[in-house]
Amino acid sequence: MKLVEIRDVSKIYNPGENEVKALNHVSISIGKGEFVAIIGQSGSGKSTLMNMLGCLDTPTSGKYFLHGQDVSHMTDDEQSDVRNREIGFIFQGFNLIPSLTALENVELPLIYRGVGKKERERLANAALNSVGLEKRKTHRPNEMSGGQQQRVAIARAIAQAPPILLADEPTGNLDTASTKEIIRIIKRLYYEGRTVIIITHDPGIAQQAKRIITISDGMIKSDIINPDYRDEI
Amino acid sequence: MGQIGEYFKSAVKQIVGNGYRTLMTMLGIVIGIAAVIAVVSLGTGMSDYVTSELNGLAGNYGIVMVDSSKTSERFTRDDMALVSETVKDIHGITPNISSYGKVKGSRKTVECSLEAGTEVLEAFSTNGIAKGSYFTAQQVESGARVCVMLLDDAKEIFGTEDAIGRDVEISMYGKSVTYTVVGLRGHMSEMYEFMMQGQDYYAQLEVPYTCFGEDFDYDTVNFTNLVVFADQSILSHKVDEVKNLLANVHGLRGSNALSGYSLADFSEQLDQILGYARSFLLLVSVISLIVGGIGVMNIMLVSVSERTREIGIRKSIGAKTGAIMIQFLFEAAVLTFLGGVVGIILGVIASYIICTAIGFRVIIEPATVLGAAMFSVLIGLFFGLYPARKAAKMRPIDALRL
Ligand SMILES: Nc1ncnc2c1ncn2[C@@H]1O[C@H](COP(=O)(O)OP(=O)(O)OP(=O)(O)O)[C@@H](O)[C@H]1O
Ligand SMILES: [Mg+2]
Repeated sequence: MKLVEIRDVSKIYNPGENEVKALNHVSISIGKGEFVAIIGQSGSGKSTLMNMLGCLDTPTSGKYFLHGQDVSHMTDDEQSDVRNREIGFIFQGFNLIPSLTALENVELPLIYRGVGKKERERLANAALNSVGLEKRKTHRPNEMSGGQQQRVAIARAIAQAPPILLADEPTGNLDTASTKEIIRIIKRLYYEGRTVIIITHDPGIAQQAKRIITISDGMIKSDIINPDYRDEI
Repeated sequence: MGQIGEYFKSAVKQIVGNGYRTLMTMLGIVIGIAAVIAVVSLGTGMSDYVTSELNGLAGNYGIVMVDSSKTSERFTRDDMALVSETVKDIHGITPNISSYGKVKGSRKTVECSLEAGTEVLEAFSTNGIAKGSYFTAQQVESGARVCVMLLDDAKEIFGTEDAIGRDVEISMYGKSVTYTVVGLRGHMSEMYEFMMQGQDYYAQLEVPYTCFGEDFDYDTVNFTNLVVFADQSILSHKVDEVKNLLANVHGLRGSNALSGYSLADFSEQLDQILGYARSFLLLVSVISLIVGGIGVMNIMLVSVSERTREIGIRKSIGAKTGAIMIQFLFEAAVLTFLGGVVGIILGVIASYIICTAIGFRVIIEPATVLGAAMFSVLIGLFFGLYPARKAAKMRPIDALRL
């Protein structure tokens, strides 16, 4: 049983008129502890795929098994639960809540998990420390640089230790230095045992992953073990 | 339980963070709640004022009457004695002869109303004796020519309130008799003064019916009506009891030759009318509160669409429909509750100012305040429901895309 398994998934936007076939009979399986990059040109369907993998959207056809459990046709609340337990998201635009401090942002998934205040603070602090933000805990997103904001988002994604990290263009809004830093952190999380799926159109970033899936026009073009992969941080 | 605290904290944060807008939204609720409090306390103050003035003006009495067209029976002194002995909890019973005449003092002669009865008549007005004393049972018995008037009357006809022991001349039907002042009631009430405005001054004299009847040719043995005094709460009941007793004594049971009425009946009617007026005012202020509630709904809808992205983020990291719903409901309820508290404070202040200015007693019942506070929360919950549902039902993918 694979950790993530999508079978013959299609996604059609605006069925009927103007329909867009964003995913066209895609099947992928990803095992526990893998480090996968999904790469493709703009409009190729990467984000659509990420939404499927992250249980943020339901496929038009096909099935999605997570831990062998069919999650493609769950109710909204059940999907919320799956996202909370199984997946840590890292978005291109950080997606922090502007009115909350770094610490409060990181605490959010723990609140929805029902973790008590003490434990919550402990976990959130640990997560922030692990991304090197011990000095920024009480800062709001608009008081931080992009790289710092993305690190808060990573802390939020790992705070309650979900098995999967899903990153959609995590460095798309960042400069080279911050990009390096974020990739370094993501790689470290992979070494710590998490399954990491990173979506990017940047071949340089894809080269860091152990397995590279190329997608084009909603279909998988190639799925290879990265020959250039180097086991280092 | 910790969850509730989180929701509360986040609601307060959101409300404080949106300072100016929050204030404008709250204004509707503030005004609505303040209006409710002010209207309710004004209404209560008004009823209280009217009731107490009414009691002050007319005392707590009822009248039992013989319809002389239906029977030749009349009430007697024995009837009075019987009623005094057998009917419990009444303050007394007396014949009552009312008439108008003139009264002459050392300074002036003025018109006067004359009420004749026994010493029980003292309870006729809640305006108590301020000087001297009321005439006594013995003076009634012996037919002493004594009288009681108001301090204002003494001032008018003697030029001084120092009138105990002075003589007045009461004239009626071309006859004049000298009476001695033994007691003075306090100054007249504001409501009475108000009603008297524009009329010629007239004095209010009270005299024993015995001498008065003899002097001016009234029957002092047979009476067509008797006045019964009792506390207002039991008055109608007591008047009926006296009426039934006397109907039995005179063999008039089953006929309708005797009738009884009391001011309590009138008070009840007045209370009802005042009640309608209060309900109407309350309705108007509740409508203003509902308008305020719609304002809250409006702002919450704006807030939901402004925070679509936040909702998407929360959902993507695991918030369920219920959690989002509660978050927004909490916000609406905290918002209207704060508005309610401010409204209560303003309402209480307004009540004090208005009631004091008019001269009503300031009556603010805790139930009103508590009710207003609870109602404001309910308004928040009710009008927050639709926006909260709208937020909660948003699909994370749609909410994130914006
Ligand atoms: N909500 C939507 N409604 C209609 N069409 C959509 C919607 N979302 C995406 N699409 C279309 O589906 C296709 C795939 O979009 P997707 O966002 O997955 O691309 P992407 O690979 O993430 O591109 P990029 O690198 O620019 O982010 C595109 O042609 C896009 O126009
Ligand atoms: Mg994309």
